[in-house]
Amino acid sequence: MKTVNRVRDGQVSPNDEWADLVERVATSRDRDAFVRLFDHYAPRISGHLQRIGTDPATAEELAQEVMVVLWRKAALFDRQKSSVGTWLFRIARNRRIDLARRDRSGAIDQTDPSLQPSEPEDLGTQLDTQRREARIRAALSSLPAEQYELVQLAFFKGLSHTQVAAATGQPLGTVKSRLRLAFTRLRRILEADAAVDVD
Amino acid sequence: MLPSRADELDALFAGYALGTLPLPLQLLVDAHLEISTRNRGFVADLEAMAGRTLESAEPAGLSDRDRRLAAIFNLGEDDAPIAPTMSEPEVESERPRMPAAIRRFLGGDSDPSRWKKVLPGFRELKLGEFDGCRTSLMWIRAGQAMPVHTHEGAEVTLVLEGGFADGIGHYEAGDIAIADDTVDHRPVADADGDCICLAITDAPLRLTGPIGRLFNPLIRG
Ligand SMILES: [Zn+2]
Ligand SMILES: [Zn+2]
Repeated sequence: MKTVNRVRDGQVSPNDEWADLVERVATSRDRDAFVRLFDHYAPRISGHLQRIGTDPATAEELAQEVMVVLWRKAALFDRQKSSVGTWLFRIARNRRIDLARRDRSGAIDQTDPSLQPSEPEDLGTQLDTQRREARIRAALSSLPAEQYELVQLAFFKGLSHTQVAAATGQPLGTVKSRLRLAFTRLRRILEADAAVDVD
Repeated sequence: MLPSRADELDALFAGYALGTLPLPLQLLVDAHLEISTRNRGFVADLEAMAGRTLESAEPAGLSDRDRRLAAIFNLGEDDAPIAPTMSEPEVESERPRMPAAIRRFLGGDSDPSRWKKVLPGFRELKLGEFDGCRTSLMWIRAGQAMPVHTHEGAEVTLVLEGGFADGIGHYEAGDIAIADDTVDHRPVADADGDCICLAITDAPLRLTGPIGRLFNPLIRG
């Protein structure tokens, strides 16, 4: 697997090979391409779902469902709108909600529209993938070090607030209020940047 | 735990993007994003961040890898890619439609007979309890005041139709109101139309007014 496009934090440029692989699945049902995507993403989706508290068996089933969506609906992927990781992440999130609904009704709705990744429609979401990634990188790096660390732990590492408190030696209440401030600050930086972009 | 303060909205969106909110709150934010454009840009940024976490995530071992792959390849070739469904065709109706996220979640549960009268001018459709949160649709008649109440936990409300004011804020369709145990409030529906909300609580409401005490058992039921 070539590493040329890969940068730190596991971030990959939108012209990366994963997007190429999804397009190969979409256009020619390329099984080799799919197997590579499966081996990369299925264990990571399962890992993410388990980190946020999903039991292992359910996490694996959900990861499998996401892979089914990838196999069947690869044509819906748009590399201009999101990275492969973001696209699959959103599908996984939506499947988890559907699962709760299914548990109530006891039946799977075959016509379930949530199989469709939701389509951003307004201006604010139409930044292309590369531009968005660059903005986010810049915004994160302009957070004060203390807030950046909290965002790293709580968001990127997926730790609960209690775990973040333990990791940083800060009281739980402090962690919560500082994280709140960090996300509000991040938003201000991102939105100031978006305003500049639009002009 | 639900978020407990109004200024936690941005952190709420971060939890949504990451998928860590209790399920009813994920649903609430989905519905919010459908109705309101205001936070879509920020959420899209957070989702891009969340996608990066997937790339850097520690992969979990996957059982039956070969069997899982075979199952997918055996699905058949007949599933032509389906074009993305954009927003559904607008149906002319007197009322805004229920957000698709909620309609999907409701399934067949939207049967009008399941709406229960709690007080005159106040009906509730209970959607059940998930991840420790009670979820309901509330209908409040135009101009109607809810009983004064406080919360043992938190209450997150998305206005679907109409609007209400509670002395702390004024919320219109698409707005999210967050109240916690420090809030003792009395929501009043706007006079110009009935108010329909999606309400999520992580503990029962406790009515604090003199009338509220009487009706408390009804609310908790
Ligand atoms: Zn309340
Ligand atoms: Zn109003």
